[in-house]
Amino acid sequence: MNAGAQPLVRLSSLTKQYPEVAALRGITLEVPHGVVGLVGPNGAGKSTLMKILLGLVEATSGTAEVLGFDANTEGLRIREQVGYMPEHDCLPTDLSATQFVIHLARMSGLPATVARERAAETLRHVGLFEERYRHIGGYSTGMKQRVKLAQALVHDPKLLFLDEPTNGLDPDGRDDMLGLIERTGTDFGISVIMSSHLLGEIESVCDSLVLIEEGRLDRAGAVAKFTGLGNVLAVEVDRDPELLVNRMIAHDVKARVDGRIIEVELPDGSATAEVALMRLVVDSVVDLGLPLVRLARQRHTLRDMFRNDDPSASGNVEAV
Amino acid sequence: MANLGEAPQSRGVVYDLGYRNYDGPRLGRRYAIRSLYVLSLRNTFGLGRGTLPKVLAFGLALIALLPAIFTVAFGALAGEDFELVEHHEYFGFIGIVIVLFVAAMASDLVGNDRRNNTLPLYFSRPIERDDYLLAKIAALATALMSLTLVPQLLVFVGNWLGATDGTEWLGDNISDIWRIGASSTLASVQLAVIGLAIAMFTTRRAFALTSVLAALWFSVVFTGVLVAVLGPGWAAVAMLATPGYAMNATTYVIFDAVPARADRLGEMADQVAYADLPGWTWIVALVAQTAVALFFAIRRYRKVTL
Repeated sequence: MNAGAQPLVRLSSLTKQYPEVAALRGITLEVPHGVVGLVGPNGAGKSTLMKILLGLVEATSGTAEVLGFDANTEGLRIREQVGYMPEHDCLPTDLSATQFVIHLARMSGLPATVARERAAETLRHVGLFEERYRHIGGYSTGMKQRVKLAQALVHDPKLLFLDEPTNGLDPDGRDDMLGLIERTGTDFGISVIMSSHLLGEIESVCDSLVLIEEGRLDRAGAVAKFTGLGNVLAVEVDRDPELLVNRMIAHDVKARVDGRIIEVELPDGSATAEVALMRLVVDSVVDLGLPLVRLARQRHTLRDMFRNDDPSASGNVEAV
Repeated sequence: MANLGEAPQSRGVVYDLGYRNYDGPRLGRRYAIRSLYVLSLRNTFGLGRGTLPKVLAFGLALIALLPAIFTVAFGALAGEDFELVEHHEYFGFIGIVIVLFVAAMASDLVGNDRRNNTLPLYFSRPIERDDYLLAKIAALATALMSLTLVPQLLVFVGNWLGATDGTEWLGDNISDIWRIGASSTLASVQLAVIGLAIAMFTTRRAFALTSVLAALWFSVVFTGVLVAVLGPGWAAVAMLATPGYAMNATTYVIFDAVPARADRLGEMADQVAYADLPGWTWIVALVAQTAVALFFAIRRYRKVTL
């Protein structure tokens, strides 16, 4: 089967109604192969969506297809080809990582000898070495997250579902985990759907993103589309940024302060107008005698997307 | 080892990530169920786990074996076909051991996965909810066979070897083999299903353990007290509804050992005679109890939220 022939996931009016709340309210969407970020505040429906795609939870109405299989009727076929790393603690305490991952590899259909080999390789790959023979009960959060990733990866799935994979990790552990996820997506040809409420993570590892809010699809698309070069000039000075802002406003140019950085809005289109504005900025800095640190064309971040387009969203999504 | 640094380059890889893709066979659902069964069975006997579970499981299995060992040993000393315990009485002798084993193991088998929250990892693999249950029941039933079947076979073999004329003895007693097999299997499956069905309604180990003990052991004591009070009709109903009675009575029926009439009501065999029911009703009761427990267990796991 050609991986490019069909979308990774196809949703059509997907709805999930729990007795008390509506978790998903009619999502229609096609998700391409690659590393996909599923973003939204806690309780937006990210975990529910993953569970429906795994065939663990039945949708109330609408359809969901994963790798061309219907999630409702062909759950077994899907689960043969995907790996799942749940958000919460899900490991036994009285088995070693090796024992447990071997066992789950066999549950995914790997013959016994292959299961042993691949468990050892996968645990090494996620960075567990001699520790893997010890009981999981004594592991740190970071090590447990690695075991959770290893069990999802051990049978070489076509698609990985990672639910908040960096949950509870310290900054170093977080970087390691994101590095692993990125390599998994790019070097091994495994598609990844990862959920996160941290935009910075999505931006650093994902090719595309899906934003859901209160069970509705807010937007979806390539991350590059949201993070292209912006029309903002960032000017960093060592002191008195307000002076420059006031000067800009006096010249009818939009500008605002963000810490020690002044963001000056560039005019659309015309290159000469841009150059003229840059010259104005430089002249003003010199004129005001401000110590200039940096002058750069600013890239959009996912955070801007919320700040500019949808003020209501930024309050809920924790931006990094 | 001189070319350690070159090896990755020669394979065209910048650095070794310890990860390879896999194109080999994937054995699917039945293999997955079997793997879960094997692991669960090993867990029951504490294999791959700490010392305490091993001591508990093998300890109880050994105690269940003691009457058989004594029977064979005394038989060898006292000569011809001495029987301390007869086959149809064996479960009566070791009843409490079997029930303790079920109570301890059932709360482990289904409780650990709930307490550790490992179910999402199982159910995101190519099995269905009922498959999980099937593997767990099969594992506990198999483990129970080591307490119900093994001692009985030991008694059988011991008696055979102790007989003066082995061939003649075997000819007379060979039909006991299917009786031993049938009664052990029925009892093991019944207790496994009922024990697991009860244990899966709570994640708390102590609570699961006491509930199983209550359902399988205290119910026997309770019914036993009631029998004389109730009179034959209602006593029969109470006995049919009690797992321990259904199990023992089924064994008597299979070995054709129900007394013709009840002398005193102290012994369970006499109480069964007192109920004065056709033999097949006991077997039906055992099967029905198992089916009801299975129904609730299946329903429980289909509804479990992940």
